Amino acid sequence: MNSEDVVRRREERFLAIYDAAYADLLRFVRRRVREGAEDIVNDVMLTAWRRLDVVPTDMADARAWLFGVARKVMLNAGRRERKQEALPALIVNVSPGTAQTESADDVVAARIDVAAAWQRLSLIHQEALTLAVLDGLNAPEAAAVLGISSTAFRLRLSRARRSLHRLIDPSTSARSRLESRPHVRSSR
Amino acid sequence: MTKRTLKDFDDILRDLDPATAALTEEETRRGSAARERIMTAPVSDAAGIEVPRRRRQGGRALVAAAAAAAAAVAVPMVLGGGSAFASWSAVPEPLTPSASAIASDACRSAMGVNSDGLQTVMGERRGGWTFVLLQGAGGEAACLMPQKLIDSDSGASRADGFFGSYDPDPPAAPTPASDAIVESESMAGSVSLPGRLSLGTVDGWFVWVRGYVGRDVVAVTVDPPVGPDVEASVKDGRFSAWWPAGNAEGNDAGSGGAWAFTVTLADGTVQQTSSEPSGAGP
Repeated sequence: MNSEDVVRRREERFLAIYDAAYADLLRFVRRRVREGAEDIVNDVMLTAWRRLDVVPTDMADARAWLFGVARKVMLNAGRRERKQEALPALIVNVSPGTAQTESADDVVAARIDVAAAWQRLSLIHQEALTLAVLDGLNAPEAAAVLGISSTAFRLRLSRARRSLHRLIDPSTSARSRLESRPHVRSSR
Repeated sequence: MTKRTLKDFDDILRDLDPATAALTEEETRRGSAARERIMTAPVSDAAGIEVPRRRRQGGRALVAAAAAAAAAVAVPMVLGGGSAFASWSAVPEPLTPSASAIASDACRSAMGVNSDGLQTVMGERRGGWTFVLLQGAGGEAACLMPQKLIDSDSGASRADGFFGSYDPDPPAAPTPASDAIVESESMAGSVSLPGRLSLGTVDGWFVWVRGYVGRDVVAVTVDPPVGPDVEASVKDGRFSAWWPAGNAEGNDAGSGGAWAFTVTLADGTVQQTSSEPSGAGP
């Protein structure tokens, strides 16, 4: 293969990744920063262009790789202002939607409950839920973004869900305490 | 509130998602424009254009990388205009102490190296570009940076580009003859390629040399294959210079040709000299 072929293949591969992932990457960043999302996406894509040799071949893995780079860029930028190890989503829009199966009041109330509980959730749990629910990543992909094992991510996500559930509905909290008691005892 | 399941909460979270909308036409257009710009950038993996380098020193390597963890880094300018070196001057402008301190901080930060043990040896400005050489117990680092990078401390600006090298364990300084010089380092890099790699034209190779001067040498002039003579900065036994070297085709004389040195000695003698092999000396 001559060098022109190498260059052309490289360009084709980058174009495929860019076009497949750009919108997802922009949304990923917009969930986490209030401004400058496109600049961050450009930085991430530039890194991918330069380091195409280390971008995973599989498209879903490549997308997770891009998300991971974006996360580091955002964490590095945020670190100047405050120490932060996780990047949760900026939850917005507590207003009635259009498609409703319940009464509008109930939907709004539920959103307010979830939004309020979200604010009390730890950053790490917010981030785990964001990756799984909003970014739509499966456990191995989300784990790759965070640089942890899939098992560790699954555990984190299940704890995050439980925490959110407890914060929204304290009755689940009582129930899970009861459920956990025999386990705690048996481990002694 | 109605009793809800975990799935309900997921649905509610999705309702609260700040970024659900499809991209607008304008956003899509900007994305495509950025893609075209990015694809004009020099690349760092095996398939891409390699940054050529002459006379490698043992243990040093020059690679392009966005992260500055490697021993040496070159992150070429990418998203700038087509005339990155328009303001370049053959005569360097010395840095004020405060400008030197700021540029050195920017270099350490851009390279991701600790400030302990890396003091400024020399610095200069040529138009919009500032060069600093740092040395100390932590090794040796050099940066060639656009003003934009120095003015800003954001990571985004760093990604816009700078050239740098960092060697945590540099070879011992050579000892040139009193009226001679030793070129210890030379490299070439490219900036701001307006066309696609395989198609368009490219502009903006530069060549960057530095080294050591003998004790009688007070000035060093570089005569590049193309363009005017370049006055090097000389300080504390070191010299450094860089110059624009034409476009980035492999056979281009500007980036591929040899350069010559002229030295001025303390007694006023001006003489041509070739660099001694690195490490040679009395």
